[in-house]
Amino acid sequence: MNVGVNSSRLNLRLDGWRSRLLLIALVSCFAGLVGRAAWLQGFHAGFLQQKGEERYSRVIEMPASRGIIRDRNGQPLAISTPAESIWASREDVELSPAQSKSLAGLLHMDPRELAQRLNGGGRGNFVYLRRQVTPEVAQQIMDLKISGLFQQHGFHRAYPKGEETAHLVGFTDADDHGQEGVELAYQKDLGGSAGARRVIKDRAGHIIEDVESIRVPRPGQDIALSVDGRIQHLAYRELRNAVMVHRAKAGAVVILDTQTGEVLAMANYPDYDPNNREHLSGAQLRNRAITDTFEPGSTLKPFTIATALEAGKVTPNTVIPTGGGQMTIGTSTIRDTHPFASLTVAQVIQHSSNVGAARIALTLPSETLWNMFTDVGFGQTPKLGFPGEAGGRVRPFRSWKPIEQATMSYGNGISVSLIQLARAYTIFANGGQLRPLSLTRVSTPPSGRQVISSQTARQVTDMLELVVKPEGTAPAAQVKGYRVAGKTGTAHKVVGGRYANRYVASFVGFAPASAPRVLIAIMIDEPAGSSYYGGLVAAPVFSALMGNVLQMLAVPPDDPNSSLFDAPAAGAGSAEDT
Amino acid sequence: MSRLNIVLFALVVVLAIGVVHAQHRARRLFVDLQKEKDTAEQRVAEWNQLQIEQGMLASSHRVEDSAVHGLQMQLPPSSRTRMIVVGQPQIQGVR
Repeated sequence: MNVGVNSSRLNLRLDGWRSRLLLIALVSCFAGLVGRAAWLQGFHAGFLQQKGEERYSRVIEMPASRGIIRDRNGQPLAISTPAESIWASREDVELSPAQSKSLAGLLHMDPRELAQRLNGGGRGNFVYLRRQVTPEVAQQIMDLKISGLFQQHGFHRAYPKGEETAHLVGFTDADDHGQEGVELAYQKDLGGSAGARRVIKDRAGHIIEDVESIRVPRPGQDIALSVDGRIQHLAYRELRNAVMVHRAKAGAVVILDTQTGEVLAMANYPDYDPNNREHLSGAQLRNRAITDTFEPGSTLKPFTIATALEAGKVTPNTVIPTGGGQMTIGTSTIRDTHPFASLTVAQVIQHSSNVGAARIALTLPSETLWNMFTDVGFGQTPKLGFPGEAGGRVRPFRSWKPIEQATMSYGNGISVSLIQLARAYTIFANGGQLRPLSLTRVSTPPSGRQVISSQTARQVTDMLELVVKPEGTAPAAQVKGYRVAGKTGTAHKVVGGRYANRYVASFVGFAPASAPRVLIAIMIDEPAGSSYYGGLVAAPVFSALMGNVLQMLAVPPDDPNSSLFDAPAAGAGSAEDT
Repeated sequence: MSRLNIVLFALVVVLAIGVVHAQHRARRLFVDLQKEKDTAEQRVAEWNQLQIEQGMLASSHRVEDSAVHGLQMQLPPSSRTRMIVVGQPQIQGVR
């Protein structure tokens, strides 16, 4: 039949290149896949794995809480509580008028101010609406379910003792960093450091697995200050009263434990409320006891006398001619408030004679006097670690003229801070030893440096006891039942380079004089009332404070001549006579 | 041989379910742990809050104020006070 067809079919053979082409195509497809797999698995794996993990793993910040500042009895002076910050992503915020109203209400904000925050002014998309709101309020805000509104965890710092400890404790800013006082000085210890960890979250946002800890959070350490809250309260109250009664510009009090060098209280006025820090001025903020220096005036005389006693130039009974209360050096005249023809060295202190102190100082080489001032810490920062510590000023002795040496002997032409003055006085209370001061609790008192002999310290203490006797300059500083040693100071202030009729009244003293425990230094700046003498302005504060502090510390009375308490009045109600 | 295979297969299935179960339990416990940790944190915050409150309520200023004004208390005059020293004969008024 049709052989031709048959034979042509038999001859129908595909060309060999076609199968080879197909083979090559298939092989290259596989090669492509293998290559891609190798690329993804081998070279690109890290990136892809990371992308994958991002779908479910999260890095969480773990904020570290700030340490608590306590007083020596464990009472809190500064504590952190959780607080939220509310912030908005401006572009994403959509507010209905009702939402706007309730949000403004919760934020304690005017609705217009809120709208202005969200729409107008300022650059960037990110804006804080309010920082440091309580967690409850933050929750209410979040419950409004406004898109573009977020909260951020943080801490709010509370100061339970408020104004009383404001200058000492200081405060933190909204980012929980110390700005003033102890909060700043001990920022390193208090602050701690935030940690971070990687976790796996499920769809609902619950953490279901801890993957790794990236940084371990280190919570801030608590700090126990040397300050006693009760003594601090007394100091603050008495100081405020004194500043108000004498219509003074400012004032400061420092109370030291003479045996350990601990600061038991440090109060300043004018003050501020650290819990509400709007409209603050520098005058309110300053911790004057540490940052301000003043010419100490007569409170410096005991150091001049101690130097002369140490040098063997005088004994407490040496008679010094005081020329009827006047003495002329070159063109300048030194005057005494209460003129005497002559005084013993002890009486020079008791009556606070400028002429007497100057005469004694002029028998000494200037270097000896300068050494004493420097040895007790004048002219150097006290190294408490407190921000803004002032060092005061003691001019180099080579440049002293005789008149300057004379005036310096009674505290003019030299500047010190109140805390320096308080510390310097501890040499008399401490048998001649000068210890470093401490703002934190001290378990074993650090060893001091012997500045004067214990005999000189005793002699000066005896003189300082005369000051509060009826003939002295500060009978108002007496404390019932205790022997008190102290010295008044009334210094003219230097205004614009010359001495003005403005004064700094001061008193530094310690008790019980037989075995000193507590030292109090008081400075009242520009008392504007009828009296401005240290013995009238500062000494009564000392007396009130010292009496209370000694009783609080249960120090037994040491004065055999006056009892702690008056005799029961004849026939007085419940008091029985024995 | 095939019987051993079946036994092994069954074992694998059981163990696989066990793994899933253990994983689930671990996660559930972890969530509980997280909750407890959160609670602990809240308690600390509350404790701090209470300490602040106590500090403010027990402040010397407040106590003094309510003693003087609220309870009409006053410091006894020294004529009506007597000091007692432990282990020593009583010190009386004036010496």
